Amino acid sequence: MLGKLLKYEILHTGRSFLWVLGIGLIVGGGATLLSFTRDAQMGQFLTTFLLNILLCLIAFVILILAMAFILLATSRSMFSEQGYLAFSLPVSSHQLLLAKFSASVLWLLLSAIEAAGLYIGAFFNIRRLILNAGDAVLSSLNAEGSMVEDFGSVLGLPSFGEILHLAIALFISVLVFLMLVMMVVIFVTTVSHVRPFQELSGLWTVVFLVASAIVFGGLTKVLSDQIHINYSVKFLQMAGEAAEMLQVNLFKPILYLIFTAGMFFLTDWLLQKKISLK
Amino acid sequence: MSNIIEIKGLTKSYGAHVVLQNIDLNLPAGQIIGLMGPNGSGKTSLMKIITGMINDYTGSVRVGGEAIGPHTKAIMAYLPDKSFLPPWMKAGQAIRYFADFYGNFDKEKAFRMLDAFQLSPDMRVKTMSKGMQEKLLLLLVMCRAAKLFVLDEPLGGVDPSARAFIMDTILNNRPADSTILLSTHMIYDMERVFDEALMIGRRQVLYHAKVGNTDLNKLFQEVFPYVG
Repeated sequence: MLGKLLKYEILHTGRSFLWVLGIGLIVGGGATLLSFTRDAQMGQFLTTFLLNILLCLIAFVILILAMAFILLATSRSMFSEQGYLAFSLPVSSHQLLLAKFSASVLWLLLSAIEAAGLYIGAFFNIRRLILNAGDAVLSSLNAEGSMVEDFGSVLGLPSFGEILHLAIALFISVLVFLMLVMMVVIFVTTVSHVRPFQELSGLWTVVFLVASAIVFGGLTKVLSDQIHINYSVKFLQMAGEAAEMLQVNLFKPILYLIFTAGMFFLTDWLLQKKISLK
Repeated sequence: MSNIIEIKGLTKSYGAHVVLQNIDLNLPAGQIIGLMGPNGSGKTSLMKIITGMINDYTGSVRVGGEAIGPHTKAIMAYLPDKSFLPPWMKAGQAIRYFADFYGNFDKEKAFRMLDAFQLSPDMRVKTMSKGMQEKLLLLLVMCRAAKLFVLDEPLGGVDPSARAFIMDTILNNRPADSTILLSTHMIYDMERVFDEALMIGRRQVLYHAKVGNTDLNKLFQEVFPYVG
């Protein structure tokens, strides 16, 4: 039954999510194509540069939209009239919850991958744009300061092995963080539809989201300051402070996993004991 | 005769407002039971509790000898007084969805009934009229070989010919040994089909007996005298 639930959950939510992901891909593709321009003049250079800055903004918006969409989809499919369909199914509450959680994590992960791709794409687009810029543009940029040299200092990339190590560590950290975010979103949606909150569920959703962010943010900060399981990659071409920035404390993902499991069981209990569909 | 529904000490309240208080009730299998009561008497709440749409209550509710859960939902078909299908869903998709989740759902019969109801499998819920949506929901519920059908006001707000059509669909498609718990205000239209009458109000079960030759309309007015 879990497989069927998951199939329908992905099919149902995918209808809207593919639009969001598609828009990001179209804008990203357009900005990349424009960045291949050789000997760009100032007007064209600035347009493409700003488009890539916009790309970074779109990447951020995609993540926010993804979370907002998941919140609305969960609320609609479980606690509106469609909830009568969901709660009539011969499945347990934890199967229902697990299907929603898995589909949400999948979509949020895809959104995060696309957002990361758009950021990285924007970085390489701007790099390419500067390297291919016309003499007039380069001399203007150099006249304004040492932009090309500054940018050039971070253009050198670490080796493939270094990137792979860091990417795996970051991927695990991000995945676990997204799992916590999604579980919090589903928990908040559920608790705000439980009596006595369901009459003003929209307002309570915002209140509980902010409260959860403060509680989990605070707990994570306090605990991860005390306990460190560090994983770091030394970059050959970056030294000192820059290398410190790329260090990952693996205790945080462990903490996120514990929080996620706790929220899952709490939400499951609410679904079993406290639901009162209107 | 065994009981399909067994309720002990059921209390349900909305904040300070108690709707059902310490109710004990046994409903026998294989009967058509009319659930009646004035507006706000707790008919819909009772049905939602039996079907698992409400679970913040005290007391014990068992269907087919089991506590409310996946097993009871597998043997029970529920028609709420709401259109519960997503608006983008097509009629054919809804049928396949039910067939996927309910082992006792007859997909071929559902497509035949869809055709008889003059509904297209490619029609989306959002493009259907209210009457068409009601037909589709009724079809999805009645194509299950369920042991218990819980039907909340299936005749509410429809014209007399649609009422006859709905009743025919229910009576002609129910498995012989199944139980129907049906809430209604249309007592005059329904008393001929009810085996048992159940009247709730003032937080209690006020009347529960075989119908026989009882004039339910008159009985209802005696149990719930109108206070203008």
